[in-house]
Amino acid sequence: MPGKKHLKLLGYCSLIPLLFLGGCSVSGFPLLDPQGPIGHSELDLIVTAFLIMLIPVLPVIGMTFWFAWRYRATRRETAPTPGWSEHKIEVVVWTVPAVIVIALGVLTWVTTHRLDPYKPIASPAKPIQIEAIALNWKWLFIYPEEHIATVNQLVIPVNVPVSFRLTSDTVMASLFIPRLGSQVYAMAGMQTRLHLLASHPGSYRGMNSQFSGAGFPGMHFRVIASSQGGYQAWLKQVRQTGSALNLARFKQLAQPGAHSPVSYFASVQPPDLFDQVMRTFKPMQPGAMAPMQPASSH
Amino acid sequence: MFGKLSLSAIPFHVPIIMGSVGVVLLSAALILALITYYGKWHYLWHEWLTSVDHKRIGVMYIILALVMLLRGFSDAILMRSQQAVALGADHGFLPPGHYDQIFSAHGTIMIFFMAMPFLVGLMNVVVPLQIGARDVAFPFMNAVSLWLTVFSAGLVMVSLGVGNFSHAGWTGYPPLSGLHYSPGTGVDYWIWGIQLSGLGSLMTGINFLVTILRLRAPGMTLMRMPIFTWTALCTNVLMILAFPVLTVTLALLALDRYLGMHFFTNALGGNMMMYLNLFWIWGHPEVYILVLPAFGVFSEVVATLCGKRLFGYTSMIWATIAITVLSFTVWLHHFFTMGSSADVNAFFGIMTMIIAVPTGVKVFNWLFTMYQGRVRFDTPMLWTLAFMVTFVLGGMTGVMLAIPGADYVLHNTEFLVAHFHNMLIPGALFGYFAGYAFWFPKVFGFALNEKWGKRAFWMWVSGFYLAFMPLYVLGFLGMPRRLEYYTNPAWHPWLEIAAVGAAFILIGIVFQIIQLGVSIRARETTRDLSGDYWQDGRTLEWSTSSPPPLYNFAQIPVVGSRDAFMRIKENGSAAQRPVEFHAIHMPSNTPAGFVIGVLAFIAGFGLIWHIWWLAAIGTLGILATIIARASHDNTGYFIPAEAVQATEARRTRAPGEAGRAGLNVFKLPGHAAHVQQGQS
Repeated sequence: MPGKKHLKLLGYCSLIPLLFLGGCSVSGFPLLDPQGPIGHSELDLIVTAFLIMLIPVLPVIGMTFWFAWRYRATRRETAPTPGWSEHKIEVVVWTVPAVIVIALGVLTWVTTHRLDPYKPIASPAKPIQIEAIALNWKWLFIYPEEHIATVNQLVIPVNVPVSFRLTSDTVMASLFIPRLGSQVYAMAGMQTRLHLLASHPGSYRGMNSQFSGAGFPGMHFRVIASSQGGYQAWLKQVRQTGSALNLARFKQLAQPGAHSPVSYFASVQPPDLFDQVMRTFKPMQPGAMAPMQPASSH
Repeated sequence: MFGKLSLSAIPFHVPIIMGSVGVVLLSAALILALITYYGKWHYLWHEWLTSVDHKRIGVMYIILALVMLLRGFSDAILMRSQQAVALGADHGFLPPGHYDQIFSAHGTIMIFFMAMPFLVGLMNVVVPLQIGARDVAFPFMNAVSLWLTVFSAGLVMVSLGVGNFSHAGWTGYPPLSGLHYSPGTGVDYWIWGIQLSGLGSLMTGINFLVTILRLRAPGMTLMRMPIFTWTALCTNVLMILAFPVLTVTLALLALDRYLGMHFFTNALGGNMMMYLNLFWIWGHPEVYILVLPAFGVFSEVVATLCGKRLFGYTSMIWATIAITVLSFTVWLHHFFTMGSSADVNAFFGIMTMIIAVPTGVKVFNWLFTMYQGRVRFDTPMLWTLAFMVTFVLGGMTGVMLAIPGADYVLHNTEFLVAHFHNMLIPGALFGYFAGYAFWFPKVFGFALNEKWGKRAFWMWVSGFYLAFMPLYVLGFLGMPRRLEYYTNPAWHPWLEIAAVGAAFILIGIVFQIIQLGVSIRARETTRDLSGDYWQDGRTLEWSTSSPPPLYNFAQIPVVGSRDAFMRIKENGSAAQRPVEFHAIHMPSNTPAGFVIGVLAFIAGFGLIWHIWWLAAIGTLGILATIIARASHDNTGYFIPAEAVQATEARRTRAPGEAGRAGLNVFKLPGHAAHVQQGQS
């Protein structure tokens, strides 16, 4: 649809003054230059909402200045008073915002379902699974199908959906890779889901965006999106150079510390480490006996 | 004996903190010394600290708000300068971890100890006058609310020098705010500071709801009420419904921390998601608690300073009611990224947008009030105009954040920080500033200096744009909020611009201080002798003298329409004096409110530091004070008819003498001089 395209172009143009101020191009702005379909849809959504909102916002700003100047008290001539009906205007002032909100509401309903972070991304390629565990203050990424793990580095193949399971071994965190799109919280004792896809090779910034205590500023990592060949070569490299991740090593990793160096693990024991971490926080399941209570209730 | 408290709780080794403590202590010492030097202790105690007069309580609330604005802004300027320099290996000038306390304190102080006291202060000053009442429904409870708020602000200030403040953000999400990750007393300062002031807010809500519903002048039906009173009414409903949720939530968090329970923490099935839901079930209505009274101020200012009746009064009221109801249906938009289903997220996103409809209606109504009016550019009107232009921008970014799909990338970034400052600075603070300038002549009998007011206004507005527009850009640059230091050089220039903006606002605040000084010095030249300072006053507060007498109205006015005072002026009955005067029953001053505040402070301090005997003394003391106060049968007195007549005669007789009878801080007859004790 050419009309829609023009509108979008106009939307981008309206952001241009900001860019001139900084003297930089769109590519410097992760949210304006996304590298995956999720990020792209989200940028489109932001621009569309922005344009729709300009419909009431620009006239209001214009009218504020215009009325303030036109009807200023120091003006000599008095304003004419035509017989205008308040009620007609009142109908308009309720209708205009209502119509805009209906339009935005439809947009919201449709896009929220389309961009649900829990929804798998449709793709001919089989998604790769990543289990991300937030630690103080680093990310542990387990590749369950490859039986490897990394700290503070995420390597993914391009054009392959990435299916995340997220949890936390500590306080709340939020896994956010601005160039790829959506973020989702990681919480102890619970699993959340996130689906992303990188469509261009590159090195992107990833982070925890949810404040999590003293080491929070150091809790960021690199996301390297590479070709399928590069990804396979990297897997091989991890298997050759990585150390073993077991419970003892995990406990070590879970100790508080920021700016952790990138580490590779060639094996993960136990393989269900992610689920075990999640379970440590839920000793009191419905039906299960709380550990603090005596074994018999009589 | 002293619980967790020892000398090591005082950070002697951190120069920045000790410097700030020094400044606070020195200013306090200076104020105390000045009071002693001028021998004002007696006056201060009898006329102010023990007062139950709504006007004085309102003034004290606003003084607290302005003092805490200075504190909250100091935090802001520290954050802006820290982020302007903390690039790369340089971690800035703040001691490690101190930044976390600063942003936690900034949010807590600005919401609970700046904005809340400011709006409650305005309500106190204006509502009884607007509805033709002589005081609030429960004057003593009003004093208790005030002193609980003041002394809980005191607890937060003490955390500067004794121990730490919370580092878990003003929202205090568990498990970070739980005992395991925050073993110190910082979070406890935060909990008890908010608990005590929250109690005060709840009582204020009850007090003003009853006042507005029960004490209106005869003839003032709900649909004849001034618009500010309407917004105050809706804010009170929100306070009554929302604050208990916060109280319970923080009580549960306190149980987690004090008794090892696990409502919200990781272990034993505790669930942090419950906290987020509960916190924001209070937190979103709280936004409207802050904003609605400011909307009321703007409505009064626009109508008065455009010399035109408010456009769409009925629309405005229905819009206010709609916002009040809808504000309870949107809380989940604060955490779209917590993994709710698409249906749930979409529902709350759409509900959030629906609130934009009544808000949009309000903006249009203000616009059409200006249309064909005579717009006077006095300071209150300037704040209103800046609000309208700036607030719609914040509304626009708010709608963007309300769309879950957009929020997934904008959440937790500086874009969010820019958005809520873009709502609350124009939407709440500018409104309070407008109200401060608008009703100042009513309260004190002389006006604020316009020249310095306008200078301050321009610094504030340009500072606002410089400080917060770059934060929107930083959101698109993917910068998360609450960063003590960072490695991305692309963020740096924008943070430098934002710091310049903060400096502009600093100059604006300095100008406001100068404005107050200049205005007090020149007070004889700006005396408001008519009581109707803006000349186009429409509502009852302008019908009495400036400052109003202790009893507000010698005769309770009878209201026949909206804009009651405008009608009186049109009828030509404004100058008429009452034919006969009656004795007026007024509540007596009492130290009990102040004492309860002090005891609550002691109890809070004891709880924070686990000094149980101190906490017990404070709590039992409060109980004893309440019992003692409740056993008092005689809590009021009569101002005899002759005294009322004399006061009114002074007002209407000689213009040069007018307006000296009541709340005049700078030349004081003292209330006790012309009243006598009587039976209630």
